[in-house]
Amino acid sequence: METENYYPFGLTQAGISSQAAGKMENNLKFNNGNELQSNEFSGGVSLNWYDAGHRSYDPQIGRFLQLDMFSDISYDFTPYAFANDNPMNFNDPSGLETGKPAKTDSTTTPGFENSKGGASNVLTGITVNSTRRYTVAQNLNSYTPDQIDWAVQSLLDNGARPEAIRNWALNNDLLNSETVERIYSATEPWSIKYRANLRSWDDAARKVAEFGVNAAALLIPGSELVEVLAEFREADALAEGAEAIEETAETVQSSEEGGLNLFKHNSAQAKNATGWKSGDRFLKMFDKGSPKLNWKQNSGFLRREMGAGKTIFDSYLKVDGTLQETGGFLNAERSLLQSRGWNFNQFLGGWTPPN
Amino acid sequence: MIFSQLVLARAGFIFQKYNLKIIEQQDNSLKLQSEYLVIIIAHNQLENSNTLWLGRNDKKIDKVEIDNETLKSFFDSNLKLSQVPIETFINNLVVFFENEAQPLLNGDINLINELEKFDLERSRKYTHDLLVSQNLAAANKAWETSNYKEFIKILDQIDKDDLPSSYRLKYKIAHQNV
Repeated sequence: METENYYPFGLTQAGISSQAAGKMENNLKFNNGNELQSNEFSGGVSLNWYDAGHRSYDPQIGRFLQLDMFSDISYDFTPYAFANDNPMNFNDPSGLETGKPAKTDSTTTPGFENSKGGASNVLTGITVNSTRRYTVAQNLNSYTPDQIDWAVQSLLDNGARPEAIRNWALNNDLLNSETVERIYSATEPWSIKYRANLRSWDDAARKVAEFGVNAAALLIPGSELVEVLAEFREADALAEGAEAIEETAETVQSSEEGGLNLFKHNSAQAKNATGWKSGDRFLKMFDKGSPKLNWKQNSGFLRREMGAGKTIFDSYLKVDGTLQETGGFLNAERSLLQSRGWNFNQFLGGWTPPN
Repeated sequence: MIFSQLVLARAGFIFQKYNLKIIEQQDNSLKLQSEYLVIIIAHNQLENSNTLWLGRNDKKIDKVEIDNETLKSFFDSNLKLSQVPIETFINNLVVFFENEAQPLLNGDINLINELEKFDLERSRKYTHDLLVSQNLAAANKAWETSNYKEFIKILDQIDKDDLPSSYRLKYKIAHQNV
């Protein structure tokens, strides 16, 4: 009988483990039986890393030594993190995806034998176990296009990012080319929406209608967009916008999350319940008794926000994205931003800091 | 007295006359709706300002802010609704509803269309002017650092008719220096 006791991140508690008895070493231990690379050099010198298949894990620092190749779907954590920094509840035997240790139950997405039917678990199912990986690929290959669309939709509904699904499909040599193509086309609209960070499809349609394809293309980096938008208007005009697409890509990136929103008190725009992004918020204000003192407080708060250097959105806009002219604090806030070199970006609907 | 109650006490009879129903009432704001119109009347305690919004009864969220400039340019009226005390605001509101805004309250669709068009145009001009001034500020910076290529690039984004004469001259000089 051999027992092993570990600290949460995988270091062996030597004193109370069978290792202490000097028995024959079993190196397949922590993290669902990953091999501990110990004593591989003469003189007792060890790496003491676990081989987690796709990455090496160092229990002494509780970090993987290589980047997470799916870091774009687990963006809440550093790409070197092990088991979402929660080793008491999760493990990561493959180095690819965090999951509950050794727990399987029925699938909710046909073809994907995964533990919870969650999108990220599908990736676990695909990558961790080669037999399962093969089965999933075979199933997908035998699916009709409609079934693939449905499976992809399930993944997206479960929160998978379109780009992650696409990358997975592209790098999976077990999938035939028709399947990969179908997965690509099924994720296309979401991919564009994701990249463009549009508040809604209506938003996209409105922008295309109002500003023409060229201007809308500025908003939406990525060559796929050019193809899709070409259906709206002629493709030639889009080609000209290609350079500008690159230039604005960075700005669009920075607007993925919402942020501070300037608003007009009691206006319908400020009270609107829809169309907000996560992280959107207003300046908090407390009544100091007089407009002069209130403005002092307001401008102080705004200056502090400006110090963070993030896009400040303007909620008092017309349907075409232009600024609604107004007076009061909102006008003063805009003046303050402009006087400090901030620029209004009509396509972002917000003010960007000076370069 | 509470703002919304004050408005109702003074202008309530007009709302009744034009079949405007209260659909939202808070201490400092009042939203009314008829078959054709949505009207929002609000007071902002923090900046001590009052605002009137008017628009057609639809799902669009942007209604037209009726400020002094709209009153003057669109309604050809000398009434003041912005930057006035509450008392004056409400008095002028009643006068406005009984005179200039009467066709709107009666549901004159053409006038609503024109008002929206006017507001959109004003909004575009405001944004356009703002973007031009931003570009000019950026061009100034480029000029000061003798970065003529950048200067030309920025000015090329602006309609030449919008350029002040000094910038047209600078534009020529920049071209000679490049």
